[in-house]
Amino acid sequence: MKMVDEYRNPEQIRALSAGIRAAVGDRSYRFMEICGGHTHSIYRFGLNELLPDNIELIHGPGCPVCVLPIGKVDEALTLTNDPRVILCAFGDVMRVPGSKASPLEAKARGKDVRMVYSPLDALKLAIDNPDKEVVFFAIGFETTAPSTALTILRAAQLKVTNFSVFCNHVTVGPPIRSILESADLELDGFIGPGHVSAVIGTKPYDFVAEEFGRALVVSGFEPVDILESILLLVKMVNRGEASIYNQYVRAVKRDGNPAAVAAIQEVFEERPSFEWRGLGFIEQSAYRIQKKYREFDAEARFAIAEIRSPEPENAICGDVLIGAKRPENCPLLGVLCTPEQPVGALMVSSEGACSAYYTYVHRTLAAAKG
Amino acid sequence: MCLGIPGMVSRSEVGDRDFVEVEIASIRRMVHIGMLADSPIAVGDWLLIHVGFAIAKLPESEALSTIDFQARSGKDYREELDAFASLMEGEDRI
Ligand code: SF4
Repeated sequence: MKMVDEYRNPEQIRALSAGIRAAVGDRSYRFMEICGGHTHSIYRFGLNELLPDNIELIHGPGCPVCVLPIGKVDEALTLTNDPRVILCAFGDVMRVPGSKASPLEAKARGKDVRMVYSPLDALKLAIDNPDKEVVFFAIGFETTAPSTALTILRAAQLKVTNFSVFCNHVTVGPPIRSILESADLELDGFIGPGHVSAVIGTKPYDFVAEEFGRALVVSGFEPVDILESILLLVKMVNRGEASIYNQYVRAVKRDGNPAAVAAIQEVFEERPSFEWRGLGFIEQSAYRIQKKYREFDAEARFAIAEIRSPEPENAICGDVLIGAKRPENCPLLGVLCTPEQPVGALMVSSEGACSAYYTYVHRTLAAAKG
Repeated sequence: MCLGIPGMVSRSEVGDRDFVEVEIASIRRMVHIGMLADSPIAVGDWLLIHVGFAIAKLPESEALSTIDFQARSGKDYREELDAFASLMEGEDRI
């Protein structure tokens, strides 16, 4: 059990934990935290231990490296067969296993793959290497999509001709809808993502309440935020109320960030359909680059052929992603799949449910067993 | 990569209105402020930085409490700081 004194504000934590225990009825409560940042905080700070047994937290599909199908990594790596190409990716993406290699392994085998902190670093690399073709392997939800969009606008403004983006940006609403439509999970409500909502606001979640009668609380990332959001959800469920509530008012406004949304709308359009790991193809759930910025679209520039790659044997990444199974149900966890040697993407990023479970629960349990 | 980390504006007159210089844990770097185009930004302001872009302005108390929280949150936050510090040589602004 975590010592409550480990938290920055133990009194508040104690009060919220007691408040939740006092508020719960005889029924069970199933809440999904959509965002991997919340999953990380829940495991890191042992928040489950502060909750009564009849509240179950289910991890959702809000970790962008986790939802990327293996085939997309394979597609990106085919670009590196062209000796002119420098492929750039965020640090997390570098470690995502493709069917033959991760970007990092491809780099070790001599391919020109570089880790970047920002899409602007990839653009700078293009400016510094005019005889190369620099491709940024873009992933992320609406938090990251405006950054890619603004980078493309900057490339256009600077008339850079050797920079393009392999766009795999996705949107958070459609997978929530898909999970609600599948109905197997019998969720009572959602802990909504924080930073995504700083961009899109809270309006895009209205359908969760209006069409599906479920509650959603946009939450900050600190233990106090998450417990407060859970208390709000419990109270709403008890009252039979389905509303969208913003707990993270410090960073999130109802209308989000209009300049960020405008950048997305200027550069991207919705793809008719996009494949998600675990969820399959979901309509209008991802962005592609509009025709007017075609010269910055790696798909147009390099004619990237679609690759469909199977999941690794015995891995249950897809089921964990949609909350149908938990990390501890995977036979590979801690045996073949570890953060040092990940088999699935959920073990790569700190926001991945398997990585968070392995780091903060599995290792502790294993150490206790001796 | 999903983290937003708070940084304080250390220089706002950088000759390019799309960028300001931000300091995080003694590291300085240019960040793009195109998403905050409507709000004036001054030295000493706190911004939430994500992959080299400011995505929101933060009250100082919120920035300081987030920094404290992130410092307690394990190696991933340190890795984000390392990434922020990367590619610092030479011209750090596009
Ligand atoms: S432990 Fe590894 S293989 Fe199993 S579900 Fe998690 S990421 Fe996938």
